[in-house]
Order: sequence, then structure tokens, then C-alpha cells
Amino acid sequence: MTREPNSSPDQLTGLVEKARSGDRVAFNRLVDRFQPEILRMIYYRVRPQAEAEDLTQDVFLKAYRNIKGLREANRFRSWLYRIAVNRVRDFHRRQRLRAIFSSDAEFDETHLPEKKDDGVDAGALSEVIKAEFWEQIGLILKKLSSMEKEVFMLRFFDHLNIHEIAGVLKKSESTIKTHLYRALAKFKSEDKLRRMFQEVA
Amino acid sequence: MNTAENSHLNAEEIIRAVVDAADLEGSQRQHLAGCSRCRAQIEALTGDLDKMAQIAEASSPKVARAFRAPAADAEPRAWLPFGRRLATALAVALTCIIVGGLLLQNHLSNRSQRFAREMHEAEQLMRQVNQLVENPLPQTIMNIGAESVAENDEDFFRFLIPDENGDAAISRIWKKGLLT
Repeated sequence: MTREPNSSPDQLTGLVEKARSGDRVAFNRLVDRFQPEILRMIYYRVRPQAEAEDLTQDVFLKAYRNIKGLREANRFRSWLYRIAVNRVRDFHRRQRLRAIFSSDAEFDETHLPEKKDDGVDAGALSEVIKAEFWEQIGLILKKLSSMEKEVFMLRFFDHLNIHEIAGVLKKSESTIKTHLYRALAKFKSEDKLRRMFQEVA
Repeated sequence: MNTAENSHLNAEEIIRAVVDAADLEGSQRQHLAGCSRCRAQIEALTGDLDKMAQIAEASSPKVARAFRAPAADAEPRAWLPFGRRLATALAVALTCIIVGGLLLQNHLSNRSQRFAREMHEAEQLMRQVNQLVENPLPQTIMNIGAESVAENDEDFFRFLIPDENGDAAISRIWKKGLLT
């Protein structure tokens, strides 16, 4: 698994404080650190890559405009994910509205990433496995409630801890855990996906 | 709930351990520390979740356009403090009310003036109509008419329709000088 360049919590907090006081260079360093994971997070939830890239730009523009209002510098990551989650929700709302007026029968509620290759490293994973993978993930996610789905993705796709998820979704940690228990129980019962993981391994 | 140190964790407890091992009871944590079977179940589930994340990440795009904070002159204008925003909003609202009130007052005033003028014109018209009904001919024409002269003048009527003493009546008319 690729990881973005690591920065210690103190370094990050220092950058956030500088960015809060209007330091563009510091903000751009935060972008370098977080843009890849925010793009992934949005791509997992929004179908076309171009849309995911546009939404990512929106998220950072909004973050730049509002960073002075961020009270706790050490909660920057949760705050950024909160902006991204809200932006994705807004996107889906508009999509649903558009689907109603265009009567698009092909509209899919799961909004999973495209199965075709779209600029991703072709050698990293075969197209067949990718297509099969997203199909299986789509089947699992359809069995989850919207809250279970969001919590599950934030925890196991985006690698946020329980405390961060609670901050993003403005819920208590015990509520987040309850949704995770339910989501994991459903995930555990999906043998086909788990067998696929064995084959990939 | 399984609390005995020697009994294995059930499916629910395995899930709880994956979410947050600290949520397990002391005896369960103690059992987990010494039970390779239960640990293997937890590791299998976390392993599947890790693989899922790896595949998802491998199939996601890389950043093509790095975001850059806009230059200072392109930055949005900073918001005014709340108090100043409120004062500005109140001033704008008050101005709108005053201007609106003046416009309304002007509009109503114009309407009443126009109404009074129209009433006056209507009265004048009715007066002319009534005059025409009473005297259809203009006064100058009426003056030319002999009616005023001949009114109640017995001699004039006798002149027009002579009776047995007609000659005397005609001579009296001549004397009055009416037929000059």
C-alpha cells in the first residue's frame, strides 16, 4: 500500500497554523500531503475520475477559504474529510436530482468507481480483477445502510480511526462502533469476496 | 457473552476485537493473548480488510492536477465582522423601507390628483350636456329669433293672424317700428 510522505503530528500542526495565518506555501505543503488520499476517498464514492478530480479541487479550495475558521489545528485531517464527505453528498444529491429530471434508468446508487482503466497504472492490477473486485464491493455496500457504508469506507478504505470518523460525521464514538459492528458482520458473511482476496494473495 | 478465560471468542466478539480490542472485557483480552486460534480469526478478518483497501488503492487514480492556493489578489474578500454585517443589513433594509414608502406615497398622491381632475372634467361635461338639452341652439341664434320681441305681444300675433280688426293691428305694429 502506498503512503503519502509522512509528516509528524507536530509538523502537520505547525503547517496548519501557518496556513491559518495566510501562509500559502504552508497550505500547498498540506495539499501535497493530503491531496492523494482525498482524491482516492472521493474516487471511491464518485464514478468518473474527472468528476473526482474536480471535486478534489473544490474540497481544497473550500479548505483554503475556510482554514482560518478551523479552531483546532490538530484536527485538520478530520476537518478536511468532513469537507470532502459533504462535497460528495452534495454531488450525489445533484446526481439524483438530475436523474429524476433526465429519467436516466442507468443511474446507479452505489456510485462505485469505473471498472475500466482510467489512467491508473495498468501493471498494478489486471482489469479483470479490478472489475470483479468493484462488482463484489458494490454488492456488499448495497447491503449496508448509508451510515454503515460511510463508516465502513472511512474506516477500512480511507484508514481513519474511530475518533477521526466521529469527528467527520459528528457522531459519538459508540455510534460509530455500532455501525462498524453491523457493517463488519455483513462483510464477514460475503464468502465470494473473501475467496477472491485469497486468490489475489 | 463469553467471559470464561478458556472459552473462545464468538463471532460478535471477534468483530468487536477488530473494531477496537479495548472494548473487550479483561477476561476476553486475557484469553486472546494466549489463544492462537482466536488471534488467527481476527488476523484473517483484518487481513481481508487490508487486502480490500490495497486493491481499492491500486485501482484508484494518481493526482493529475495538484491544487495550488490562489494568489492573494484572487483570494475571496474577507467577511466583515458579524456586527458590521448586521449593521449594514439593517441600513440597507431601512433604506429600502424609506424609498419604498416614498414611492408608494407619491404613487397614491398622483392617483388622488388624477381622480379629482377626472371628476372635475366629468362635471363640466355634464353641465354642457344639460345646457344642450335645455337650449340646443347657441345663444346668438336665440338672440336673432323674434320670440323675445313677440313674446306676449298681442299686436304681433294679430299681425300674423289678422282678425276682423286686422288693419288696426297692422297700423299699430307699424307705429311700434317693429317692421322697419
